[in-house]
Amino acid sequence: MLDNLPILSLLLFSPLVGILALLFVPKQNGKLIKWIAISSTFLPLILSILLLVQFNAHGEGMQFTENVRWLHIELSKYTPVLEGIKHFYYDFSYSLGVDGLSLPLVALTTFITAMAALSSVVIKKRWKTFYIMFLLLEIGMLGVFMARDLMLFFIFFEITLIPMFFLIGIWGNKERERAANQFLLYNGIGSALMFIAFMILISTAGFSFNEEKLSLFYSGSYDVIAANIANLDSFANAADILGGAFFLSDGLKALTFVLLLVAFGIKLPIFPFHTWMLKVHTEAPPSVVMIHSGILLKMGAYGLFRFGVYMFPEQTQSWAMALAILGVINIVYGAILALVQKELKLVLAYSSISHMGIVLLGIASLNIYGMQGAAYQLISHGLISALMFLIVGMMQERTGTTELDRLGGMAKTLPFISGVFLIAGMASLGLPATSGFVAEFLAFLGLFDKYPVIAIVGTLGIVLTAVYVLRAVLKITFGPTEPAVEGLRDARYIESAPMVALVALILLLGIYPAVLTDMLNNALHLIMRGIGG
Amino acid sequence: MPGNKLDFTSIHNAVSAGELTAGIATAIAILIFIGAVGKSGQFPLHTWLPDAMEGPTPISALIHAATMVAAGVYLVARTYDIFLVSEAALETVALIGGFTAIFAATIAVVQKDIKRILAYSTVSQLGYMMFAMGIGTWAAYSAGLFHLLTHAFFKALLFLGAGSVIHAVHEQNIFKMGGLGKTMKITTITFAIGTLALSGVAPLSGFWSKDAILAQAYEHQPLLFWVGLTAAFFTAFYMARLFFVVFAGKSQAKHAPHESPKVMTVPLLVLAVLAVIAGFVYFPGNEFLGHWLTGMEMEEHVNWVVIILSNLAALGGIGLGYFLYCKNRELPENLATRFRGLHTTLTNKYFIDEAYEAAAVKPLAGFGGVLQVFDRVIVEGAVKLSVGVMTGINRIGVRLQNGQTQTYGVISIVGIVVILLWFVGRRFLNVG
Repeated sequence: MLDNLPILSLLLFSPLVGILALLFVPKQNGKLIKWIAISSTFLPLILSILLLVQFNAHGEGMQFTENVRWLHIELSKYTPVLEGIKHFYYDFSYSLGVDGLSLPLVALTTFITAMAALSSVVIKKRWKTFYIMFLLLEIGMLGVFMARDLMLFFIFFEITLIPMFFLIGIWGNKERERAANQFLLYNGIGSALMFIAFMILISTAGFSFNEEKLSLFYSGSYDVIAANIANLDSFANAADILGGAFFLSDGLKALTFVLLLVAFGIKLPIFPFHTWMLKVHTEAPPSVVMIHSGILLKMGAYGLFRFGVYMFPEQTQSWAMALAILGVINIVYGAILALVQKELKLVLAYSSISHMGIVLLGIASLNIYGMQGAAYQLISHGLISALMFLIVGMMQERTGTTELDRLGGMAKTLPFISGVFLIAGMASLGLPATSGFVAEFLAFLGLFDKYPVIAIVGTLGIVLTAVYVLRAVLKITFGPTEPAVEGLRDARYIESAPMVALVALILLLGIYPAVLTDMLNNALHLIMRGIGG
Repeated sequence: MPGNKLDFTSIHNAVSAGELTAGIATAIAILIFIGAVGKSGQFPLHTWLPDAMEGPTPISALIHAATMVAAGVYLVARTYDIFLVSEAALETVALIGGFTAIFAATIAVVQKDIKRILAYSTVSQLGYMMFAMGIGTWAAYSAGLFHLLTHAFFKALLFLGAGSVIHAVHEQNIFKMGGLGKTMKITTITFAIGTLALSGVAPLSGFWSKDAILAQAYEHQPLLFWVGLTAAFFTAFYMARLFFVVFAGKSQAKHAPHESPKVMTVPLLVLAVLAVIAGFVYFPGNEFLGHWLTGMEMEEHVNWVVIILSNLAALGGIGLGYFLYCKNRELPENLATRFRGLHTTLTNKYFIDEAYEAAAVKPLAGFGGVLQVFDRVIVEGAVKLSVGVMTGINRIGVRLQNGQTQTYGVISIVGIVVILLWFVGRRFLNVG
């Protein structure tokens, strides 16, 4: 039955159902709005579970592909046509597909969004707009992970910025507007760089011949571009065929790679491009940070895999050392700063920086272990940071503060929340049996093979992680009970459900990693084919 | 990396096949040992262990005696193949172990908290086991594990005994106890057995295992033998101090303490029996344990020198403890005043915690503060600066395009002058 359905498109646009329904609800009816919005996030979740079930982990390449030509622009009139070629087109396709790397991220997106929707019930105003933005954001994120065309990727990448801007700017804390502006500007710069890189790629490597019709097509298809770059004789790489026309010289390749690195580095974030996300973490409502930290940051890493490693294997190789060093800086810098923060949200923000360093380390190792570790870390950190901010949201709602000095002794008044907080902390510091351990272990195993010294320095960061996590968790849960914590009510059912679900997944991935590594394996081998590790 | 394994059999095979170079083996062994140092509370990573005794007594019995801290020694034993390849690693193990044994014993001498004394005693005994491992023979290896076994019984006994005492008097400071021997018969007797076993008095279990280690040290590492013997003396002394202060003398309790219920005394009795007999699985004449552990025939000679010396050390320590804390109760106070520097150092556990605070915690926090400023001022400042530059350029651009002909005229003239100057320079002055 499912074979004939465009299941990816259905999944991608399924949040629209919720948006449409919400449009017809009067905006004062908060209860109904919340009810509709929350239940509508379960539609994509169910569809993505169906997708997971149907997915063939041992299949090669993209699955469930869909390809529809969207725009077809003839360029011949304006461009000097090459000898023997009659027509010149730019093709823009609506082209979707998932492989073993993107499918887990798609599932993560639908799952975290549903959990975040549940935890958004504490939002105090303008529920209708909030949830419409929320669902729009989900479409954008899903599209990023499903797109198989550069332009499509870019469009979805941009779509995520707009709802995010409003979600921060309207429902955030005191400095929400500054945070939203900074977010938009910083990410706008990243997008601009990415756009330049994509344009270079499309115009130099994004073409294919149709010999019957004697036509040349430009497009942003991942496969076409990757194939053209990989094939040394194709004229993406050769000046003489085109007679000195625009081609992908080594210098241009390096430039494009660096552009992509910076563009996705801002998103990840790589030191020193991290300052914007500190503000987002502190100012945005916690349920939005769940999505931000849980999924949006992962788009940067996903981009590095998909465009950095896959399309520029040589550059990735020559930059591996730099990536490893950047990774270690991220880990240690983030960890030390997390250690001295006085505000839980900032501890977690720096912790995210530190954890994303592990992704860089994994990629820098250039072997399958490290890559698996990096990809594993995306999912693992997505779950852990979502859980963390779920708890932060509950603390903030109850106590009105997330300052470490004003919290303490929570284990007495909120035993269940405190227990889950402790589990989240343990997962964050990479305790065995949690997903964090698997990710760290694989990434360091891979890196050790390539740069043992850097790996040793990086493990120092792991020690620091234990210190800052325990410092924060112990301060909040144990010790003398602070006034802000007294007489509070432990988790309601609607709050415990996402906590339990997240903890269950974190443990599942920690105890039986094969559920994910099997899926990642083939996809990562394909992405690394130019490196051969 | 494919095909590489981490299971113990593969490691054993790789080491026997000589696949590890000495340098790598040393690095691996020392790194594993550092892990074991942390787990088994060896110097300098021992500070957590006495602090962990804050837990309820049965849990500290579990942590300190048998299971958890033993994991470090067990780890070294499990990966012993690697250690045997590296002389340097073995020496490190022996050195750290021996040092910890005497170091922790001296701290235990002046502590006042009953559980803390036992905790430092554990650190010291674990040092014994480690230094046995470091001797580097299979006989010493068996002796180390043998001590692990016997120690589990008598240290669990002592901790539960301490629990029984604390239960009775609601107090952990031994100098606020006293005279408990009259009312708590079972606890007193079993505690005495534990004390004798730990002190290494023949023929209790602790004697046999300590003797096995010391005999190996006597043969292979004479210096460590004397270190071990001194530690044994201190061990006997602090245990005697503990015992006599708590169970002898006058009672200081306001209401009369009474014996603990059966649920507490029965385990004490069971452990006391084991603390007496557990030594007989391995002694000169019965190589059961050594053979079972290594699969080799152990040639365990009776070394009378060691047996006599170690018993003398134990009895000497107990005797001194009796003399100081039972007969001349004022003398320890006077000694403490006379050797105040030494006493303060020992009471403060050689200031190791303070050293960590100064060497690791403070600098890290300070560095964190510096980085924080760096992050706020430099990194974010750079972002603000680039934004500022952009806005600045924007402002200039806006000001220039103000629609006033005069401004445009000025700009044109400035431009013409610049171009003129450039041409003139090139033509006549050979500049540019």
